[in-house]
Amino acid sequence: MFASRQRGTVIAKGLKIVGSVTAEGLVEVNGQIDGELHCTSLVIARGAHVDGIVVAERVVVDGKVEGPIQGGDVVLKSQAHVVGDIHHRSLAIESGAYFDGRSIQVRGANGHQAERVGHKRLKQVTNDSQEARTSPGRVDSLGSAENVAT
Amino acid sequence: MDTTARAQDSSPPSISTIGEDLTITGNVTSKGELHLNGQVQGDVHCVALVLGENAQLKGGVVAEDVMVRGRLIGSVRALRVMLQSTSHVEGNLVHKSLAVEQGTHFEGESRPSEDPLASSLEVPAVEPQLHHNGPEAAKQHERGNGFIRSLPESTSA
Repeated sequence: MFASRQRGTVIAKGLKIVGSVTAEGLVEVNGQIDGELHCTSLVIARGAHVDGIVVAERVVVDGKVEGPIQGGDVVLKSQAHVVGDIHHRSLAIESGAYFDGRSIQVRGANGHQAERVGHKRLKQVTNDSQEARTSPGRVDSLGSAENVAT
Repeated sequence: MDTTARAQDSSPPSISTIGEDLTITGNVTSKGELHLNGQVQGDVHCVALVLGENAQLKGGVVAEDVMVRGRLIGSVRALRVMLQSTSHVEGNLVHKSLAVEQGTHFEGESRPSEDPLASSLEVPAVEPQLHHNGPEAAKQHERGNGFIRSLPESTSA
């Protein structure tokens, strides 16, 4: 029922797991999982049911997921039924899929919005280099450093 | 798209095209199909809407068919919604069917509904089950009723 190949895990149709599942590599779920699911690549096949948080780099859903999905590349196939928010770098939804939740696009690694953070950092760099020489406050020019100190 | 005349329509459906250099500030209503390639700041009510690649729409959309290739900031209520790969959509979608192509930038809620065009529907109702992050998420972490819709706050940057 529950076969683990060298690089892949298959959870067959009749199997139900209650609790957290963590796996490396590819996981194919045909059965039922009540709990968190963490893996690298995930396929939730038709008839499968996952009730809990799903975290994976690549997620292909063709079954039922109740709970948030945190993934990199997320694809909802035509028989997917997802209720919950989807955090993703890219999201594709085939016609016929049922998706009730929020789509939250994040860019960059580790799920933070690298683009926006990048802009902020650029501004801070230029300000910091000035503030380093003088105390915080008005900076007119390098020469007037002593005036700004108070 | 299905452009056969509806029971209420006496005139045959027509296609209106808003060119790329045209900006409309205000609401747009059409009884037929609308191809929007320019900019609209306001709501759009029509039967079918095609939002071109360079188009920008800031406002709500109510239509039967919506195909987005450009930029849409606002909510959508439609029977069929299709977001193509060049689209950038920020807003909530209330729909009967939704398709999102790979490459789309979509941020917002997707709410399937039996009757998205019902006039009484203003904002998608927040279900009693928890919707936002917060202390409720932690409480419901014990497998009780319902499930965790969204991730706990700590995961967001």
